[in-house]
Amino acid sequence: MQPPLLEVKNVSKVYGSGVLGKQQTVALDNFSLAIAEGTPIITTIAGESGSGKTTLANLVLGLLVPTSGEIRYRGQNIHSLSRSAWFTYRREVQAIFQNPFEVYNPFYRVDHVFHFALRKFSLAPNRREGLALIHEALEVVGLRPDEILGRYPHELSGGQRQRLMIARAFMLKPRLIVADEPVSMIDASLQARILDIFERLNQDFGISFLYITHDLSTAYQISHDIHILYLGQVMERGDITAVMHHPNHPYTQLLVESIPVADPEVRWSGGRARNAAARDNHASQARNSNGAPNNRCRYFP
Amino acid sequence: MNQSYPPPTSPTIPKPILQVEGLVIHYETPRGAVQAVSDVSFSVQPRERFGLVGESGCGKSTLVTAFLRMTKPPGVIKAGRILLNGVDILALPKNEMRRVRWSQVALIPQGAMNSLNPVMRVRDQIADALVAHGVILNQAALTARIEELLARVELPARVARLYPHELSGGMKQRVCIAMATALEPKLIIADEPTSALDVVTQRAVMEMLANVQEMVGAALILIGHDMGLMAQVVDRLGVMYAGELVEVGDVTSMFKSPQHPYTRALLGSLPSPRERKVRRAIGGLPPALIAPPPGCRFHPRCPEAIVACREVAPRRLETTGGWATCHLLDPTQASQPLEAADAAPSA
Ligand SMILES: Nc1ncnc2c1ncn2[C@@H]1O[C@H](COP(=O)(O)OP(=O)(O)OP(=O)(O)O)[C@@H](O)[C@H]1O
Ligand SMILES: Nc1ncnc2c1ncn2[C@@H]1O[C@H](COP(=O)(O)OP(=O)(O)OP(=O)(O)O)[C@@H](O)[C@H]1O
Ligand SMILES: [Mg+2]
Ligand SMILES: [Mg+2]
Repeated sequence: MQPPLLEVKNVSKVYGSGVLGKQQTVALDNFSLAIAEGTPIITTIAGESGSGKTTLANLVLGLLVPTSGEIRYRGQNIHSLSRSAWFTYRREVQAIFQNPFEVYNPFYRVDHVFHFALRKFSLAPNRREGLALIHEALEVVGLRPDEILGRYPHELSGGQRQRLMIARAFMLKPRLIVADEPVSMIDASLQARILDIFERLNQDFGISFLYITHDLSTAYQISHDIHILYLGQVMERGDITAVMHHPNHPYTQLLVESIPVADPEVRWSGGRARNAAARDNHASQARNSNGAPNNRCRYFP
Repeated sequence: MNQSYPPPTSPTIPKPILQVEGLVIHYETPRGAVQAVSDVSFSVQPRERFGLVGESGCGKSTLVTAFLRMTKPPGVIKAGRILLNGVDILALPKNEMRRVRWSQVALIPQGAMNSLNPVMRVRDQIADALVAHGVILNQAALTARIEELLARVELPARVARLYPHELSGGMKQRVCIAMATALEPKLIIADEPTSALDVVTQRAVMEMLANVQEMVGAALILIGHDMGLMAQVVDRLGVMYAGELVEVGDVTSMFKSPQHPYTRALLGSLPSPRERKVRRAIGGLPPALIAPPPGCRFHPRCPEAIVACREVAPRRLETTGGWATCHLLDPTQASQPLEAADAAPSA
C-alpha cells in the first residue's frame, strides 16, 4: 500500500520556558493526521487562539522539531531525509501565512520573491521561461501581470499581496500548501475570491491543503474534513458537513453556535455560549498554568 | 456660531447624540488629495447601536477619528459639521475639546489591544488613563475604582496585577473597553474591536461591550467588515464605499432588502456556515481615492450599472428602512443599461 503524502503521527510539542524550562506549555498533545497520496483534499485545523494551530503548521513545515512522535512525508520522517529529498520536500510543501505584509521586503519590487524562488529551485532554464512561469502563476490567481509586476509591496492591497503569495506557492508546483490563517486579515468581500482560488488549485491542480483557521464559516465553504483543536488537544474530527451540522463535542457546539449569523432575526443563541466571558478567563488561565500532559480533556469543566 | 443650534425639539423626538453634516476629509499628499471622506451626513440617537461597514480603505477609521477631533496631518477636515449632543465640536477651543474626549465620546481605536504598554501592569495603565483625564483619587479609592471597572467587563481583580502578555486577546480587548468607558461617555466608538479574534472570544467581547454600553447609557458606533457580526449587534447600519456613505437603514430592512447594489454585493460575498458555495466575490477593486470615478463611485464594479451611473452622482433616495444613493431607485432616471463589457473590468 502506498504511504500517505503526509502523516503526522502521535506528535506532541512542549515548549519549555522560565528558569531551567520549568514552566512548560504543551502546545500540541499527541496529535495525528494523514493526507492520502492521490486524493487531493482540503483539511481544516480549527481552534481558538493558543490552541496550537501555528505550532502544527511549523512542525509540518519542518521549522520545529516534535518533542515526541514523528512527521512523515511519503513514508519518511522529514527529519531524516537525505539532502536532495529535503530539497524536494521544501519545494513540494509550501506555506502561506496570515500577514502577507511580513513576507515581502519593502525595498524590493514584488517580482523579487518570484525570481528568488525560480533561482533557488532552478525552475526554468532561462529568464524567458522563468517569466512565462510567473505569468502563468499570476493568471491562475486572477492577477494581471502587467498590473502587478514592477510594483512595490505597499502599492498593493492586502488581497493582492495574499494572492501573490499563493501565485508564488503555485509556481513551485507543490503537492501540499499549509495555509495559516490566510484570509483572516482580509476583508470579507475579498475572502471569497481567495477561497475560490484554493478550491481551484485543489480540484484542477491536485494540490492538498492544510487550511488553518479560527473561522468555521470559511472552513465549511472549502474543506473536506476538519480537526478541532483546543489547548493542543483534538476535541473532534470528521467530515466537515457532519461536524458543522451535527457537532458532537460541547466545544464544537460552542464554536458553531458562536458564529454570527448574517440575519438580524436569528440572534446569537443563549445556552452553552452564554457565559462566554467567564470561559475566556478560564481558557487563558489554563493556557498560563503549568500544562503538563494529563489524561483528562482540557476543555473540562 | 453654534449658539443658535440645536433648534428647539419636541420632547417626543430625542435629540441625536451625534449629528454629522456634509463632512469632507482629505489627506493632502504630494501626489494629490486623498478624498477619504466625501460629503458624509448621518446621525446617531442616544443609546442606539450604529454599525459602519465597508471594504478596507473606504474611510471608516478616518471618519470616526474626526468625531474626537483627532484627525492627524496630512488629514484635514475640509468641510462639514460634527455636532456632539448639539455642540459643534469643530468650533470648540482646544482645552474644552480635551474635556469632551473620553467624558462625552470615547474611541477604542483599531488594534487597541496590541497597543497596551507591554511593560506596565494593567492596574497602572488604567490608573494612568484615569489621571490623564483628570480623575484624582487616593490610592484606596483608585484601587476600588479599577476593580470596579474590571468587574464591569467580567475580569477578576487579579488581572490588575498582570502584564498584557499574560492576557488572552479577548481579555486585552476587554481591558481596553474598561478604560475607554471609565468616564461614562455618551458615545462609544469601537473600531474593528474583534477582527483579530476567534468567534467564541469575539462573542465574549461583543457581549461585554454591549453590556457596558447599556450600563453607562451610551450610544455605540461599531466599525467592521463582517456583516454577520453587524446583524447580531447593531440597530442601524451604514454602508461606506470609497469615502461615501451609500446606504443607511435599520438592520432588519438592510438584510432583508438591501437597496444599494454594493450592499447586496457585500451580503452576497459572505461565507455562510449553513450552506456551501453561495458566496460570490465582488469583481474588481475599490478605486484609488486620489481620483475616484465620476458619477457613482461604485459604477465600474456594479453589475447593475446604467448609463447615468457613469455621469451623474446619484442623490439620496428614501428607502423603507432609511436611504440609499443609487440611480436605480430614482424614478426620474431613464434606465439605459451599460454594455456588459463596459461595466465590469476585472482586476
Ligand atoms: N516559541 C514558543 N515558546 C513558548 N511557548 C509558545 C511558543 N510558541 C507558541 N507557544 C505557546 O504554545 C501555545 C500554542 O500556540 P500557537 O501559536 O501554536 O497557537 P495558535 O493556535 O496558532 O494561536 P493563534 O490563533 O493565536 O495564532 C500557546 O499557549 C502559545 O503561547
Ligand atoms: N496618513 C495618510 N496619508 C495618506 N492617505 C491616507 C492616510 N491614512 C489613510 N489614508 C487613506 O485614506 C483612505 C481611508 O483610510 P482609512 O484608514 O480611514 O480606511 P478604513 O476604512 O478604516 O480601512 P481599514 O478597514 O483597512 O481599517 C485609504 O485610502 C487610505 O489609504
Ligand atoms: Mg497561529
Ligand atoms: Mg480602519
